[in-house]
Parts: sequence; C-alpha cells; structure tokens
Amino acid sequence: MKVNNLGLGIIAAFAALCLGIAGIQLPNPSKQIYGPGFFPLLLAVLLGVTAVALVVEGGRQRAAPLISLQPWTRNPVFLLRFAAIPIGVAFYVLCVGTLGFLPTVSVLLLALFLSLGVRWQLALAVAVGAALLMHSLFHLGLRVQLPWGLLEPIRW
Amino acid sequence: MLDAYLTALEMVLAPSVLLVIIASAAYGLLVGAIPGLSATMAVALLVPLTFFMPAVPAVAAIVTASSMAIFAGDIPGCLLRIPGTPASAAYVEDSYRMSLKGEPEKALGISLVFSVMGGLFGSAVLMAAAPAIADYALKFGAVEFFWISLLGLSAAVFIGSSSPSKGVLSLLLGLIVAMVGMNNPGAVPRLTFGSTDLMAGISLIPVIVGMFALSEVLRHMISPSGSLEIVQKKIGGIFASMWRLTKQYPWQILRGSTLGTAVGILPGAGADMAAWLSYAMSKRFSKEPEKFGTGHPEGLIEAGASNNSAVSGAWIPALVFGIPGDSITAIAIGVLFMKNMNPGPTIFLNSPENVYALFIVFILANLIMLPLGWALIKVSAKILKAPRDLLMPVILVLSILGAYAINNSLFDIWVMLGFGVLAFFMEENDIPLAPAILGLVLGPMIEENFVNSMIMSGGSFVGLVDRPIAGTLALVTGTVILWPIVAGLRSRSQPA
Repeated sequence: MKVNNLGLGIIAAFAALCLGIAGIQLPNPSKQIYGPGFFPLLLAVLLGVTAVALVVEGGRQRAAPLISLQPWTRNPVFLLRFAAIPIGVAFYVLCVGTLGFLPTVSVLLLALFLSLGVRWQLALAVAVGAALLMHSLFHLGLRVQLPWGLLEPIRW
Repeated sequence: MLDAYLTALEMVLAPSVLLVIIASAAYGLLVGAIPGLSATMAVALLVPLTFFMPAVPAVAAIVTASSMAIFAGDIPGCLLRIPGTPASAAYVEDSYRMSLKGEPEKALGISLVFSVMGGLFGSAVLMAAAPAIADYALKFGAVEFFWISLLGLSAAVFIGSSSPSKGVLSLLLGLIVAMVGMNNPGAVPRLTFGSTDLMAGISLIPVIVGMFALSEVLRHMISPSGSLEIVQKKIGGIFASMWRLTKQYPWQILRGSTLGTAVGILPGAGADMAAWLSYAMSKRFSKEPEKFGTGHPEGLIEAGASNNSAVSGAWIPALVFGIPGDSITAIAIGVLFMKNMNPGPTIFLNSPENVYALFIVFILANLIMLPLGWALIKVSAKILKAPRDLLMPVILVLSILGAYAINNSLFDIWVMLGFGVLAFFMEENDIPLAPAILGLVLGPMIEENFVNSMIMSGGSFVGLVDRPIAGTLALVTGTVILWPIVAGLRSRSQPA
C-alpha cells in the first residue's frame, strides 16, 4: 500500500494531535519546568510541522492518488503468503505455552514452507530438523526458557 | 597504553573469543552472500546471541559479522547482478559485466582485496582518531552532549535520506517510541496506555529484529519464487592481477578509503552512501570515465575500498559520543550498553582494554577476511543457490526467538511483529528506517542531557549556547538543519 505525501501528512497531523493531548495530560509530580510532558509536546509540534511540509509536498504531486495498492496486493497468492507471517507469529505466541516449542515451531515452519511451494517431504524434514536445531541452540545452549508443552513427559 | 593493548590482545586471542570471531565471520559471509539478506539483518539476528556472551566476544561478533557481510554482498552482485547488500549496489554493473567478459575471478578478487585494504585503513584511522577525540571530549558536559546528539540526529536526516520530510518523519517515530515508559524526568508512566508491559519502555532489540529481519521475510513472501541464473560456475585464481591493479590505481585506493572513512563518521551516512559517493568521485576524476559501467575495474576498486572503510569509520562517533554512524552501529551501541560498556569519552578511562580489544578485532576481522573470503568465493556458486523459500521461514522463527530471548517475554514478540509490519510499509513508501533507529537510540540521551542542562542553567535557554564549544556545536547543528531548507528555497526561486 502506497500512501502519497498528502496522505502521510494527514496521518502525521492526526498523530501529532494525539501526542500533543497525551503530553498535556501527563502529570508533573516534582513540578519541574521541563517535566515528563515537555518532550512529547515538543515532538508533537515537530510532527505537526513535518505534517504541514508533507501536505504541501503532496499538494504538488497531484498526479499521485491518495492511496494506491501495489500490484502484489491484487494477487491472492501473495496476499495469503503475506498474511501467513502475522498469523504465524500470532499462532506461535498463543499456542507455544500449550503445545510447546518443538510442535509449535514444526507446524509453523511446515505451513510456511508449503505456502511457498516447497515439496511436502522436504518441508516436513526441514521443519522438524530446524525446530530441533533451534531448540538445541537456544534452550540447551543459551538456557532460554522454552516451553515443552505436550512433550513435557519426555523432556530432555 | 601499551599495557592496556597487551591485556586486550590477550583477551582477543583467548580460544573462546577466536572461536566467536571465526563463527561470526562465517555467518556474516554467508548472510551477506545470499541475495536479499542485508548486513544489518545479519547483525540484528546476531544481537540476541550476544546477550549471552561477555563484552569482548559480544562486540567482536558484531564487528566481524558486519565487515564480512559488507564484503560478501559483492559476490551475488558480481555473479547474478543482484547486490547482496545495498552497499554493493553502486558498482554492481561493473562487476557483473566483468564476469560476463569471462573475468569473474578478477571482479571477485578486486572486491576481496580492496575491501580488506579499505577495512584496514578505516581501522587504523579508528585506532588513531577515537582516543584523541575522546581525550578532547572529556571537556564536554551535558550541554555539549545535547548538541552532539542533536547534530547526530539532524545529520542523519538531512544527509542520509533522499526526502528530508520522510527522514524527519522516521526520526520522530523513533523519538516517540523512545519516550514510552517510566524513564523520564518525572518517572511517571508515559505513553504506556495502561499496559504494565510498556512500563519499562520498548526494548531496542525486538524493534531492531522486527524492522530489519521480519520486514525482509515479509518482502520475500510477496516476491515471485524462481531459480537464479549464475553467470559462470568455474572461478579461477582470484589474486593473480591484484598487485598490478594496486600499482595501477594507488590514488583510487587511498581516496576511496579516506572518503569512505569520512562518510562513515557522518551520522546516518553509512557504507551504502560511501560506496555511491566514491564510485561517483572515481568516475569524475577518471581518465576513462566512459568505461564506467562496462566492466572497468577503477570504480570497483575505489568504491569497494570505500564501503569497508566506512564500517570502521562509523565506530568513531559511536564509541566517543554514543552517536551511531549507521544502522549497524546503532545496533552495536545497544549491545555496548547491554554489556555495560557505555559509549562516551569516559569509555577510554573506564574500560580501555575493552576498547583496544575492539580495535584489535577490527584488524583481525579484516585479515581473516582474505582466507575466508577466498574460500567463500570458491564455493559461492553453491551458496547463491541456497533455497530462500526454506531460509526465510527459519529466519522468521529466529526473529521470534531473538525478540523473546532477551526478557523471556511474549510481549516482545508482538513488538517485533508490529515493528516488522511497520518497517515493511515504511519501505513501501520510501520512508528510510535508519533515522527511526537513531531516534530510538539517541532519544533518551537527548532528553536527559537537555533536562540536566536546563537544571544547571536554571531553566534559561542561554545556558545551551554560552560556552564556546556548546556555542560552536549549536552553530554547526543550526547550519546542518537550515542549509538544505535554504538551498531548496534558493533553487525554487531561480527561473527554470
């Protein structure tokens, strides 16, 4: 998705307004001249000035539409592959505690490999192999706490 | 100083540190050589691992991997016409055409040998200049550091990006993210939206991993898959004509290394810009400018030396002032803070042996680049065919693990995802990423120094400019900010 400078300016102006309001509302318990709200307000002003500059630049590029979709967004395969990443990350965060690291990562990798057109035998082998390798590196090597989940009875 | 250097040498030559250096070198070479994986991404993915290492091997891993990846980016450029890293893009046409002419070994040899020369030159300047500047910078107080940080930010925006307003937008985004949490003058929850996860602020590492690694994965997902056609699989002896070229183009090597180091020192203008500027300068002063872009070695030599010398140059402001020269040093500063090697002039007083160890690593990394680079070139045809469809999902899981491992926090994985998607859309809209990282790193430093300066001056802005060094820095910062605006207005007022 490509937004022209006018669109970016409008988004920046809205963000500046929100930031300014947040800055004003911040308490200043120690009654300092430049308390915790000073920098948010200063940045809100600078963001506002940048928004004006972007709107002026956007006004000059009249030919560019406010929002234009890139060619890949019209291809359902690319759209699905793109969506697979946030969905995959959400799947990991929500399921890793219950399923455990090894099953979650194996399923995640397998699904992504298949979405990219990798042969399923190779995809399955690499998914399980890579999950085991990363588990060894982070859990056994670096002592990062990775949940065992379903594999708790056979943890090593 | 000699004692500190000997201690440093002992630290670097410890078997565990040497092992880290060799492993990071191999990793940097591999990532740099695979098209689509950048040097910044190589470093971003390495940071979570450095969290578990002592200071010297941690910094050694970053330095070695970044130097190697910048060189290795030349290989796919030469054999596929796809620059492995943006720093190789300037001279890709020359190196590819040299390969088409049947001289891939000459193009790859130039990349390797002159990268090493540029890297060694930049390292020598770093070793000589950083302690001297730090010695002078010991006179600096909060006001001077406020101006230095502001100068770093403004230079990053106005020098490093094609559209200043988009550069400023990116910078402000970084500064706003840096304000989140309780680390502020009143120690009150700021921009936390009631979330306890945000009380300690947004961790730098999930942001970096998201912006530089996850965004690459997203980009791969929307690219058509296909096999890459390699120009020639058999590569002969690569060192054959290097001595002759060194004697033929000595000024180009020196000029490229000098300009590269200088550009590296400028905040926000890293190896990419160094290569483009040196290539342009080489063509401008060449006796045969018409041959540029046709497989001519001159620009390749000068720009190849330049981008590797910029890697070392960028460490000068990073070490002395804590101001990153480019996005790689921005990440490295995060690692230095993580390892209690807080950058600033006092780093040379507090932990000189660690800093000297860093210098030695720079020299070592450039020296081992010769044999390892040679080995990489010999097997490059195989590496270039590494199936990216298998690699990218693995990089996604490594990004998840990297974001999680620092605080064992699932929230950091959401942060990584959010910033990855944001970086993807920023790049789609030509908004540079580097200023956002600089803003995130420098934001807390600017606010702290500003508030301290104001407390010292009793709230008067005169206190920001009434000391000679502070006044000069204010003048330079004002010029850097105002010059592009004045130049833009002047060019508009002139008739077409």
